Amino acid sequence: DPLRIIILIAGAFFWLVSLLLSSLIWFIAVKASNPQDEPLQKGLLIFGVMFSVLLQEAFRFLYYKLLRKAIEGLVALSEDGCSPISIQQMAYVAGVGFGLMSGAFSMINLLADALGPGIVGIHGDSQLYFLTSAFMTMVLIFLHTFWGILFFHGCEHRRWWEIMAVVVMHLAVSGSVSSWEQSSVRGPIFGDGSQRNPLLLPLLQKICHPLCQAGARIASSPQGGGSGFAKCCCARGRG
Amino acid sequence: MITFMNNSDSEEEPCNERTSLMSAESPSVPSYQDGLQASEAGEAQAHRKRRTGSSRSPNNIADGEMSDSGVPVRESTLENEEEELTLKYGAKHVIMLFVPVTLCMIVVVATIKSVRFYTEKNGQLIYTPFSEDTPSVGQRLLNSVLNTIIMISVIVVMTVFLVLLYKYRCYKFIHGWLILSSLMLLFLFTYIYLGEVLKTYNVAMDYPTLFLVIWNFGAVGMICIHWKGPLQLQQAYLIMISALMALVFIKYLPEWSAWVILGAISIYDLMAVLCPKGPLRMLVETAQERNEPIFPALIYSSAMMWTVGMAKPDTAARGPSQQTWDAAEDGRENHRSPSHGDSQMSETRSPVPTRPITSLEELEEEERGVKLGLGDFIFYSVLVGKAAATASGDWNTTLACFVAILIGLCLTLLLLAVFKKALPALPISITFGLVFYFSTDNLVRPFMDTLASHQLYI
Repeated sequence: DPLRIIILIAGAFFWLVSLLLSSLIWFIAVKASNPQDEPLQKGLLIFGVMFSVLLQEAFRFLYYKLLRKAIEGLVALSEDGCSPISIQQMAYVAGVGFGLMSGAFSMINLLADALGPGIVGIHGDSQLYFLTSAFMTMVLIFLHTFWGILFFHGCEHRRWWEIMAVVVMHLAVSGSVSSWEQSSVRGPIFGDGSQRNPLLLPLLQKICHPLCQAGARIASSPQGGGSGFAKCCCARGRG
Repeated sequence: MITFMNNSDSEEEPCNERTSLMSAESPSVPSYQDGLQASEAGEAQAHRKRRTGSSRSPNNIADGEMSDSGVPVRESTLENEEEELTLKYGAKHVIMLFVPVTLCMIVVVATIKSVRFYTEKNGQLIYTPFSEDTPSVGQRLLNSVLNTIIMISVIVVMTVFLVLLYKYRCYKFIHGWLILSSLMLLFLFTYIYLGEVLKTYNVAMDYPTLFLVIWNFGAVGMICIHWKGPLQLQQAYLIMISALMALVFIKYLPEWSAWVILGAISIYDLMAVLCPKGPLRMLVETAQERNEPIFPALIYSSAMMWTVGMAKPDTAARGPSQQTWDAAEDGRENHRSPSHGDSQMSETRSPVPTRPITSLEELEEEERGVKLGLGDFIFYSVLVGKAAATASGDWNTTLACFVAILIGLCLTLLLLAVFKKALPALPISITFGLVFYFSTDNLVRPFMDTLASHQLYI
């Protein structure tokens, strides 16, 4: 459906703009600080991540506002007073847009490097770097989709606790995947600077499941009628 | 309507492609996609005006001429259905342009990333005589600005020359010029491209096979572009020649000059299409006055017209002749129909809005398309290709530029739906593309690299 493709690309664009602004702030902070100071750089990176998460959610809210106005325009222009696409479908597509862009930015350089010659983890780092990165990216994409649905639902029905839950969850997920055992920073082909904890993945799956169920509940509630896509998505996520 | 002029002759000649975006349909394409509030309010206004039965809808004013019989028929039909249709057509138009632009960019990026030839420095065009090999930054900047000035002035001169030729009806000269340039593109550039691709993948091909392949490709291309052919084949050929031209630009334009030229061309495009004395605007208006199509080799048209069995007998007689085979004339039909009061054409057009309501067995489906100039394709692809070639091997920059250009195109189409006249397609997209290129390359890349090396996900 053309309308959904446009909303998808616009969602990706909003995520990109939020990333741009947050990386601008991080860049300024890094340039203004001492590059030799290791803990400071770590702290700045964590700050950058948190700020980026908050900015992403802010842009999700802005996108919600824009889509609301778009729905009003669509309703005004349609014949029977109902727009060809509902806010739930828009929420799903917007979430997918955010997730796809986030996943693409995280993964595509890795994929390009994976085509070339190299041995993963040759310097004693985790051999599962690519695998864990792939899983994490997948999880993030699904999470963005669900957060999109939850967020828009919360905005629709003025349930602030849902919005706060999304923000807190996003912060928790982004903050929880950092591990700082090793301080060296190397390219992925020769291993990365962090020890991948294989137990972290099931933990994140546990986070995903309640989200899926929450999404399914919202989808099947009377207000969420017509969002079969959310149902499909949740079913896939559960599987 | 944005019209685009493609004057590329040879490798030495610059490609004075002026870009523009042209809407070929008569009814308005309302903005319902993620539209800005002002434009939606304006659009809602326009539609409310139509609902109240004003016969001079904004697109009439914008188009100049409108088939009179079409308007009362449209008003007499349920306008809501038509608006619903045009709504669907609006999003469809955007996608109909997204797909070829994406394809062209994919071809260019794939070639840049795999074939070494197009990223090697092997000299420059004579239109960019100043070299960028100087050590000092100021000198390099100066050289790139001078290159840009020379390139833009050559493009302006060529465009004005073309407009003058068109005004004074030297059609043979223009056709000869266009045929020569597409010959050069389809044969010479394709030969070079094929040679380089074969070299990259170490595939041997003997000369007879090569001759056969290139001859067939080129001959079918010439026929499709300049005469008749299936619409999709014509679209495919236009995409391919745009990609080839973009690759030539990427290879032969020095780095800084390329970016400055992109910026300058979008400013020139803005002025050429919107200023009253702009060459492109004069070209479009002259074409409209004479009810002639803009040259088929310069415009990508996304429209199709299938008229299989129509209600009116005279249009039924015309029906079989208006098949999708007639691609070049499709362009003419689509361009002509909003702009002249041909009674037959109007009768072809006027029953269309009633079609989805009344017709059952007639499979007539007229999709009014949007036209995009080939230069738009070329410069979008140059931007994305340069981003792929020079962004430190980073795919994020390419992806960011790609999304930025698509969003710029979407916004331009939105404006087209609001203003309903020829608009330049370059400025918004190229601005977004440039902003995203420089910011992603310098700001986002270190951030994402640091995040990836610590396996942080945001």
